[in-house]
Amino acid sequence: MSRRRPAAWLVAAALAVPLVALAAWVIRGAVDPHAPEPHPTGPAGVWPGLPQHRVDLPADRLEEQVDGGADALRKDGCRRLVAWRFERPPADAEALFFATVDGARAVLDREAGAERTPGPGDEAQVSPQAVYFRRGTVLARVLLDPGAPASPGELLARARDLDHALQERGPS
Amino acid sequence: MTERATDRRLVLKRLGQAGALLGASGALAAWGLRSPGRFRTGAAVRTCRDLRVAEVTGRPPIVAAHGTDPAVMVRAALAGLGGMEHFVSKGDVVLVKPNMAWDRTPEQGANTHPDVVAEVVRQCRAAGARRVLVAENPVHDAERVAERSGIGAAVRAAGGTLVLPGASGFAWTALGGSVLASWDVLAVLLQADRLINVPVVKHHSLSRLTCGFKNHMGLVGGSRGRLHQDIHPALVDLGAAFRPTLTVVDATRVMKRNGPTGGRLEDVEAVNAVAAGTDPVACDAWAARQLGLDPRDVGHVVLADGRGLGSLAAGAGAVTEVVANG
Repeated sequence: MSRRRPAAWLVAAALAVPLVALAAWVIRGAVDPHAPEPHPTGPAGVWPGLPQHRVDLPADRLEEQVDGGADALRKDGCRRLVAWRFERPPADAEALFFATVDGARAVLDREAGAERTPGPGDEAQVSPQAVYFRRGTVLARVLLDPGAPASPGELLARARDLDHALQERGPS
Repeated sequence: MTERATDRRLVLKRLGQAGALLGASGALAAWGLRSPGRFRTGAAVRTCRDLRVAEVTGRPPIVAAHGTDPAVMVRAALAGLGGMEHFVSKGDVVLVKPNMAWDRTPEQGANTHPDVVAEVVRQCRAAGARRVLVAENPVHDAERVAERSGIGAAVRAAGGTLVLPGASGFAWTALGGSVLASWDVLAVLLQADRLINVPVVKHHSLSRLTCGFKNHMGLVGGSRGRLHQDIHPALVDLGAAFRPTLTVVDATRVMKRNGPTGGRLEDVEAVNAVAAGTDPVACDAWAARQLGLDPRDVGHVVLADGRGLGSLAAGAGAVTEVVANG
């Protein structure tokens, strides 16, 4: 009994399918500006007790959040920036991850000044509209929307939430 | 060796060649996409027009109005230059370029004050402009920026049209600069008859000053990181390519530290001034002084003066100061 041989074009087409699919996948990834990029230190995941973060950027993409401020941060060893939006009270929060404690402290000094107040983290500078704090190699800033109605403790509570999440996740 | 084995070897060989070809094409495309314009040729390149108008004899190059109402200050500064009708003619398409890059509220001073932008739009409309487009390529999410800055609503109420460019809103354009030969430029700029630059004055950690020259960065696309690598010559290249008809500088409140992002109200101080001028170097020099800087210490201002884009000296001595109370 003779087996019927499949047509040559059919064999070629069947064998080419994986290659075509692979090429399509590569091209799609290359042309999609929103395609996720490998995270420098692992998957972003969930930050315990915080809303979904809005951006999570490695050092070479800091411009997407801070534009011309990126170089100064990189010089101090910033290697990652994560940002959140709080609704109650309405506030923006950012955590900047540095290679060293000195890097985080230098930016804290530069942005918030040398004065320190009680607050979250290892050191903090708290005002009614802004909370800056450093937790290890991480510098965090939480900025209340100007004019937003908020009790004095609400902004600080969100800053403490952020501090708690940073401790849970570790300085990654 | 059978004919069948030979056929299979041939098929595999050809598939391998096809795969290598596809892989090489994909790699080439990815390489090109990581650097805007790498594969573009001179044939597709556009050019910017010089959108300046003739100077009015006897008028100062820059007028600074001091007061508390942003709209009144805009009107007073423009009046000192001969009025918007000197710069905008009936039927013109005017592009207004505020700083609208940041997801911040007006009080935080990161963006141009919405009342300043709205008054510029109204003045253009009153001068007979056919269309007044307000455009920006923002750093943060465009829709959120338009809403939180207050500029989106203010522009609509004043009769302007907000243009928030998508990926297709740019045209590869010859800039002819020393570090920026060609770059992606907002397509609406290439269609406009007039360009009115409406920057806010603020501190900038890299360039020291954000004002008119720095505000041009919102007229281009591409990699901001690459633009910042050699920032002062890059800013001057942009200033040489985009010759604005007029610059209206918002110094109603000034972010004096932690720019360009800011966010903390302690970093913002009320200066209560708006300046208008036809000399972009003089305008940036005036802005530097509002930040407490000597303009001669701001790299791009000095370079722009040297390239003949305006006069640093004019900003020091030829500013006409007016009080603008409603």
